[in-house]
Amino acid sequence: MSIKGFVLVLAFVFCISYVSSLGISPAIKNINFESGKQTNITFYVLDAVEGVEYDVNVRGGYLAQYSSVSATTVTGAGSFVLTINFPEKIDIPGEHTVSVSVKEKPSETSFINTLVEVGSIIKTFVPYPGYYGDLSLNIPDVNANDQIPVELYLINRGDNPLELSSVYVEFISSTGQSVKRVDFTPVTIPVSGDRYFRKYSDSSGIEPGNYIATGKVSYRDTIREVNRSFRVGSLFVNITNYTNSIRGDGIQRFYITLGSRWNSPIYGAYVDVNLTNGVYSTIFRTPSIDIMPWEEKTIGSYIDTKGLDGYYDLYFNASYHGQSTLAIGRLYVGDNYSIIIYSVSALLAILFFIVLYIILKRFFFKKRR
Amino acid sequence: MAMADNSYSGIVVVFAVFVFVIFLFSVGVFYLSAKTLFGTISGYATSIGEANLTVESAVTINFTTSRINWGSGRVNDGQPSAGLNTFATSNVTNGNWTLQNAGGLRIENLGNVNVTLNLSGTKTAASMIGGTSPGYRWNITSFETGSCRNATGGTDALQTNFFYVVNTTTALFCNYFQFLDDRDVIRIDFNLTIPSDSLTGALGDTITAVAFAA
Repeated sequence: MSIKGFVLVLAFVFCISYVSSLGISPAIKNINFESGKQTNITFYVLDAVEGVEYDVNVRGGYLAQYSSVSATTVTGAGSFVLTINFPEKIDIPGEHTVSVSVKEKPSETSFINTLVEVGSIIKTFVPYPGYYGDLSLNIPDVNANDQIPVELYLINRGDNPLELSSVYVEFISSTGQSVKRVDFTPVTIPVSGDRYFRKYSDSSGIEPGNYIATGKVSYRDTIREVNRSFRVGSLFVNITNYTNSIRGDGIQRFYITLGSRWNSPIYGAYVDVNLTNGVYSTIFRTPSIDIMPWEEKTIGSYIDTKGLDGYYDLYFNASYHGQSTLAIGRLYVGDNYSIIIYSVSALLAILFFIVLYIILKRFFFKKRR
Repeated sequence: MAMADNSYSGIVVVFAVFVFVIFLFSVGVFYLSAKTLFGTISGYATSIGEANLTVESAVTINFTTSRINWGSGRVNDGQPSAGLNTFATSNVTNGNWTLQNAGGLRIENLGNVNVTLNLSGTKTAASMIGGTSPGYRWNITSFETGSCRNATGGTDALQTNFFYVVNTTTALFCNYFQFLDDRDVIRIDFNLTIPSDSLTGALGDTITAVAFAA
């Protein structure tokens, strides 16, 4: 095929005729299986364009055949109702999912489109035979001396009521010691029922650090357990890294990395750096920075290394929220040999090619003779 | 006289018992009255209040950049093909197209839940571009760092340097497309190979983004 002179005219476009934004609410719905009963859920279309029609779809597994929607299209920011007519019995216990979605229609005024489809998930739970508790634990990071909000959540996923005999959360330190126990009043949770166990625990006797919270519930001869890690912060900023070697004269970059151990933002942290070798001494201050909870952040600063040479002791003093952290380090200041190294490398390369040229020239010269 | 004294003291005792019973009755009536009264006085709290608030979840996504346009152009004379992409630089090689807006398509999660993100096109390279060895690929990345998290919550959800052949059946690209304001934008870049014997005219495709609550 001759390619030369072959000319093509093309226009490549990916576009839409209107803004592709679309939403649906609620996003997730959790319901329990109710034998032979009907459930209706209303869904709202969000961010829709006035007067534009959207398709409504129902998909899913086993329960899709028992599900229907009140309308197959919605115009603008409308709503529709999903109806699930539960059968008398579902053989497979656990979660059964149905989804509903709204989708833009392809524009008839344009050949090329981007389309958006958004959907909600409806989870229907069919109880397991026997006794089954689904346990979860929520506990956030806190600061020392804060109240610790503890939230244990238990759902009865079995087909029998759960008569709880004990409910508690225990805090375990990084050394494996139990440092706190929060007890709750045991209750009976009916079939498909759930219960939040919420309490504020004081943090007295809890040192800053990393902890595991273990939530435990007991019913019949079963103990169900859930773990979650959390941190207790202290107002402390650690100096975790710094520039320990600078090569070259003049104004040079100098970096210090700060790591926050505090569960709240720290505003305006800075570091005073004292550089000394016993004979020469200078102090400079870094710009101030804001550090988010538990964040590690690097401050970039400048130092004039003119006239400096050799090893220097560094004394860091990080200041933040009326507190300070002291650290010591060592800095090497030396000449920058990179230009010399590059020059020598370039000379050696040129020399190599000259020698190669001479050898090849002699070789070919001999051959010709 | 003594007998008169005795009967007097008996009356006093009976009177005293009567007064004590009346006193007890009065205390009871006062307690009940006070309880009713305090219950109606504004500002007197008799129990712990509870405020209930439900925030409905919503899935909303938006193509914030929904247009890519290279305009009209052609493969340079003598070249077997031209390359077009949506990056900021070197976005056209061996052709004379001009990319109008670099940076690819951008999708933002505007809802208040994490979502799964499925993407699909409707055409293959052969059906959209045609000719000998055409190319139609895309690259999905987090425009805002951490916008997409994988099934286990890790950040290495998207292969940033890899261009996939555009799929015509919907495929999952992101397990957790996040909704937090500083990490909720995903970018779709394209890389096209236009052979010199491709189809001509206005060419394009429909890109569908499907989002469900994760």
